[in-house]
Amino acid sequence: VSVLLYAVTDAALDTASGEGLEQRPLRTLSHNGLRAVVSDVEDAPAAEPDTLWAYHGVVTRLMGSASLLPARFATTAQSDGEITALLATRERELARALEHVRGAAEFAVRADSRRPDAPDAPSRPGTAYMRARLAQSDVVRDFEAQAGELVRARTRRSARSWAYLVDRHHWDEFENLARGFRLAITGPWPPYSFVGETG
Amino acid sequence: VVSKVVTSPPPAGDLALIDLLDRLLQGGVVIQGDITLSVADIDLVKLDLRLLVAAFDAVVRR
Repeated sequence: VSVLLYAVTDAALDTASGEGLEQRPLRTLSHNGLRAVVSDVEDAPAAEPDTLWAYHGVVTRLMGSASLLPARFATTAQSDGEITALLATRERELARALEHVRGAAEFAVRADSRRPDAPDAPSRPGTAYMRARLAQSDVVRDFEAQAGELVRARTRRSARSWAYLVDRHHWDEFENLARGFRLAITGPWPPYSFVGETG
Repeated sequence: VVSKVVTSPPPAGDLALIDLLDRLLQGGVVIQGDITLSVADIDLVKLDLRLLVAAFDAVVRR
């Protein structure tokens, strides 16, 4: 039996906050003000869509009642002690990261790969491709300029995708703005991309 | 405290799945060196997911 970590929080969670994977009850491990939400699992879970969504469901349910730092999927320890050791050795970093994400969630924004309406140069497809990429960068830049105060933090996830940390009071406005720029957006996600230096 | 509960059902489609993979497998708090990840019994190498996300960059439409 292993211990699966879901999230770290500093809020007092209802101990009956439900089940984790394998229909096992969630438990809370504490160190000073920090709490790790865990459950026992027979094996580390496999990264299959149903399991990933189930794990995500547990974390989002917890997020409904507390600001938290989500754990990377399949973060397992051999004992409760390993988890509390994590809380102890990284106490400051985790507390700081929790403060950073408090009251906020993450949105994923992705630029469209379609070419813009700029005229093509048929004999030089590479040029057209580069022009399309640059135009998409402009779209994201304009979007970010308008999003301004709505965004608490940002980080790039890939060549065309970005993660934004957005206060819940701005969620609707942020989503509408992204759609207005024809950017693909998903969220709100737990703040997976904003858990601190080692995330 | 985030008082608005985030309980919307999983957004449909490949876009949500790729964003889910990117976040759950490449984000979040980690315990150094203590993660076993497998996909259908094949160890998932971080680089592979990077390539997957990059490939998805090239085809996304909305």
